[in-house]
Amino acid sequence: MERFEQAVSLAARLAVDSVKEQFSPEERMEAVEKLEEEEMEYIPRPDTLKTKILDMCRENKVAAVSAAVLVLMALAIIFADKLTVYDPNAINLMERLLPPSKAHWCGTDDLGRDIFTRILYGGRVSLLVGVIPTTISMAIGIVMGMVSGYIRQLDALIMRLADIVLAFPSIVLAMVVMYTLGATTSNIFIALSIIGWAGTARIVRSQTLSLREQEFVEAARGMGVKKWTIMFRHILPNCLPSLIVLFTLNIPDAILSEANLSFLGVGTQPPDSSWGLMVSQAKTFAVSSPWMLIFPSLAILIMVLALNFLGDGLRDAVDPHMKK
Amino acid sequence: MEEKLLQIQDLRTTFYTREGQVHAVDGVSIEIHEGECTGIVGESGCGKSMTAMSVMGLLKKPGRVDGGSIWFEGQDLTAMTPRERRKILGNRISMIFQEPMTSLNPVMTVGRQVREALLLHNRQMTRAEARDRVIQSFELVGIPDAAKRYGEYPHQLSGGLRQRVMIAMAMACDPRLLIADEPTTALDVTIEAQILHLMKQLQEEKGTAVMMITHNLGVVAQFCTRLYVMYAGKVIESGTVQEIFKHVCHPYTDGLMRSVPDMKSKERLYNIRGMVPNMLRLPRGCRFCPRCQYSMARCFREEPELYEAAPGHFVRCFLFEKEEGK
Amino acid sequence: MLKYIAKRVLVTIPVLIGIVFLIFVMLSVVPGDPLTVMMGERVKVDVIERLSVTMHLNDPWYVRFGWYLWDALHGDFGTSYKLSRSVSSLIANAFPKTLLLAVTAAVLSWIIGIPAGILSAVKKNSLVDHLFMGVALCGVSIPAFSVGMLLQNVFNGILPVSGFASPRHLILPAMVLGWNAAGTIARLTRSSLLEVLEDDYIRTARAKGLAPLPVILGHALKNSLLPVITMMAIQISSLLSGAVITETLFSIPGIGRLTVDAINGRDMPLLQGTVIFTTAVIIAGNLVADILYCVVDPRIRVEGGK
Repeated sequence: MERFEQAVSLAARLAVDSVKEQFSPEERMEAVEKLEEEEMEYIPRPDTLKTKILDMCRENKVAAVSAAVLVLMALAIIFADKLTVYDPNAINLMERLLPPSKAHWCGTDDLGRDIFTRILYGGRVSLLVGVIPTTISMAIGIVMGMVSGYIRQLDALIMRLADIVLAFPSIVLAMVVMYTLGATTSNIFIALSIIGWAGTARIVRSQTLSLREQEFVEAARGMGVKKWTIMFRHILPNCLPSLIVLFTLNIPDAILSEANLSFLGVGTQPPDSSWGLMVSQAKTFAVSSPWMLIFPSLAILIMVLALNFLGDGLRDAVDPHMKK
Repeated sequence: MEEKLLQIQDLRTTFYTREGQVHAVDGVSIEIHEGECTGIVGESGCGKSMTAMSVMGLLKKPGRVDGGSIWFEGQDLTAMTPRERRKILGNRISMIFQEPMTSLNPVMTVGRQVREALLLHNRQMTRAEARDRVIQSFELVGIPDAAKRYGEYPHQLSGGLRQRVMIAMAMACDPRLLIADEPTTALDVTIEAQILHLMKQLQEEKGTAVMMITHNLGVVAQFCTRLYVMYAGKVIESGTVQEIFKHVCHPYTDGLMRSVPDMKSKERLYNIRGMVPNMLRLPRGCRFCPRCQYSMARCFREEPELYEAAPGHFVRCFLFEKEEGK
Repeated sequence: MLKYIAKRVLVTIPVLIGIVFLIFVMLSVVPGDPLTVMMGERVKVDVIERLSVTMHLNDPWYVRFGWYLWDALHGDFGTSYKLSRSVSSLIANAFPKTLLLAVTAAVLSWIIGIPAGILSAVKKNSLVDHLFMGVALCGVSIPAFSVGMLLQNVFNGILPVSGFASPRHLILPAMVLGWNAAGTIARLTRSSLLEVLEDDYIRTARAKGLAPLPVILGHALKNSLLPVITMMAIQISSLLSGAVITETLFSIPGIGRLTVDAINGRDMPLLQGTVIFTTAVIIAGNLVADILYCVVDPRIRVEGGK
C-alpha cells in the first residue's frame, strides 16, 4: 500500500518531477504533425461513381460477366454482316425449316432464311428499341420530374399526368398509340417513350424534393442562382447514380415491350425483323421446328437477363437505397 | 456484493470491412458485480456499444467476436450454442436500446411485444396471466392507463413512454443484468431525469446489475458505482466512480470531465482537441497521444498497459507507470 | 382513416376523366371514316346522314367527348362496329374470363413468390437464394409469349393449349401469366425482408431471446409485406397487360383478346370501351390496395400517430 502514498490524481502525478520527461509544447506539435503527415500519405480510395462501378466489377462477378456479355452481343449485332454469309431476308424455299447444322447454326425458318443471321440483324431493331425510347423517355422523365419537384405550382399537374400514364396497362397503351400512329419502327420509339417517362419522372421528383431542402441547394438559391441552373447544375448530377441504374433497368423493359407489340402485330413489321417478331412468327412451327422458337427466345433472355443483372449490380454498388 | 456477475476477459470484436479490419473492441476486460451499476463511458465510436452487442451476441455482419471470453453466472457465453444463449437473452440478461422511436415493432401492440418476452421464457404461463403481468409491469414503470396502453401501437406513444415500455420489456423476466445502451440520449432532458430515476428505483428494488453505456458523465455520477472509460476500442481507465471522480488520472478522462459544463465556473468550457482516430488507421503508440496535452516521445512509440494507480483504479497511461524500486 | 380513403377516391376522379379524354382524343385522330369501317363502302347517303346524327359524328370533337363521357357514365360505351353488339355487353361477357385468369395467376404467383422470397432472404447468399433469384430474374427477363409457346409445345396433348372450356384450360395460361408475376413478387419480398431485418425493432426482438425463425415470421414478415401489398396492386395492372398476350396466345375470349380484336378490326367504340374499362379496373385495384395498406399498417389505421 505504500506505493500509493502519493496522491494519484493526474494533477498530482504531473507535479512529481520524475515523470516530467515530457515534451515541450513545440516538440509535441512536431510529433503530432509528423503523425498527421503519415496520415496524409495514406490516400483513402476516392468514393466516386467511377470507383464504385469499378469496385462492383471486381466484386460482383455476375454483373461483370453480364457487362462483358452485353458488349459481345452489341459487337456481334453491329458487325452482323462480317459474322455471317447469309442475307437475312433471302428466301430459299429449298432450305426451309432445316434443323440446326454446321451450315445453319440455328437452323432455318419457314422461308428458308438463316435464323442465326436473322437473330444478328433482328438484334439491331431490338437493341435500338431498347436504347432509343429509353433515352427519350428518360430525358422527358428527368425534366418533368425536376420541374415537378422544384416548381411546386406545376407539381400537381405533372403528377396527375404521370398518374394517368401509369394507370394504363402499358401494353394496351402502347397498342393504342401504335394503332393511332401506324405500325412502324419509329412509331415504336414514340409509343414506348410516351409510356416510359412517367416512372422516371416519379423517381426524379422524389429525389429533387429531398435534394432541394439540402444546404448546397439552399446556398445556391441564396446566392441568386437561377432556377434552371440549380436544377441542371446542382440537382441533376446528384440524381445521376439512380438514373444510371434506372437506365440499365429500363432498357430490358423496352425490349420486352417491343417483343410484345410485335407478337400482337402492332410492332415491327415484316420483312424487318426483331427478336420478338421472330418468336411470334415461330408460333405455327413451334412444335415441328422448335429451333425457330428457342433461339430468338434465348437471344432475348440472355440480353435482358444480362441487363437486369447489371442493373441490380449497379444499384447495389452506387445507390443501395433505391427501390424499384 | 463482491460476487462477479459478468466478467468480460480480453474481448476482441472485429469488423471485417472492405477497407480492412476494424478492431472495434480490442482486448477489453470488464467486470460487473451482482446488483451493482457499472458505467461505460466514451465518445461515440469508441466501442462501448459493440462491447454490449458482443455480450448480447447480437453483432451484425461483418462484425465478429474473435477472441476473449464472456463469463456470466459461471458460464462462458462465447462457448455457448445460439440456442443456449437465447435462453439467457431477455431472461437473465436484457437490454434497453438507444432509440426508443425505432426499437419497437410498429405493427404490433406494445403489450404483445412485452408479453412475448414473458411467454418465451415462462413456458407454463398462460396468455391471460402474461397479460396481467405485463399490465402490472406497465404500472410499475409508471405508464398511466396501463390496461389501455397495452393495446396501443408504438406510434401512439411518446418517446418517454416508449422507453418505459422498453424498460418494462427488459425487466419482464427479472433479469440479473440489464444492459442500457444510452437509454436517455434520444429523450428530452426532463424525461431523461424521470427515466433515470425509474431505472435507479427498479435496480434497487430488484437488485439487478446494470451496465450503463453512456457518454454522459453526469449520468454516471448519479447512477453508477463503478466506471470504465473506453477510448478507440480499449479501456483506458477503470475504478470506482468515487475514486475516479476524486482522483481523475487519464488525461482523456480528465478532458471528458472538464467538458461537462459547470454552473459555478465562469471558465470557458474545455474541449478535447482533435477527433476520435480513424479506427482503420490507429496511431502506433498510445491511441490518445495525438490529442493528449501531456504526451511524451514514448507515447508516440509504445502502447501503454493498464497501470494500477491506486488500489482498484487502473489507468492506461505512461504517467502512471510504476517506477522500479518504489 | 376514412378521411384518407375519401381523399384517395377523390384523386382518382380527375385521373379517370383524363384517361377517358386521352383515349378518346387518340382514337379520334385515327384516319378513316368510322361508318365506312362499320358498313363497308356501299351505303346509302341518307343512312349515313341519319347515323351521323345519332352518333354525333357531325359535332365538333369536344361535344362528342361530352356525349361519350355522359354515355360512359351510364355504362353505355356505344355499339361495336364489327360485332353489332353493345360494347358493354361484350365487356360484361369477356371480363369474368379475364378476371378468373388473372386471379388464378395472381394467387399462383403469391403462393410461389412470397415463400420463395422469404426463403431467399433467410438464406441470403446461399445456393437456394441464388437459384431462386436466378429463376425469378429469368421470370421477368423473357417475354411471356415465349414461355407460353414453349409450354404449349411441351404440354401439347397433355393439357389443352387453347380455348377456355374447362378449368384444365386455365392451367397453362395461368402458369404463363403467373410465372412473370411470381418472379417480381419473390424479388420484392426478398429485398423488402432483408431491409426490414436491419431495423432496430428486429434487434429488440432478438434481444428478447427469440429464435431467428420467430423473429422473421412474427416481427419482420408483416412489416416487409407492406410494400408487397402495394406491388400486388401494380400487379393487377401487369396481369391485365399480360392477359392481352396470354389470351391472344391461348385463344381465351377475355378482355385482352377483345382489345386485340378491336385493334385488328379497327373497331373504335369497342377499343375505347375495353381500354377505358381495363384502366378503370386497374385504378380500382390500386384503390383497394391502398385501403388494404391502411388496414394492415396501424400507423395509418389508428389515428393519433405522429
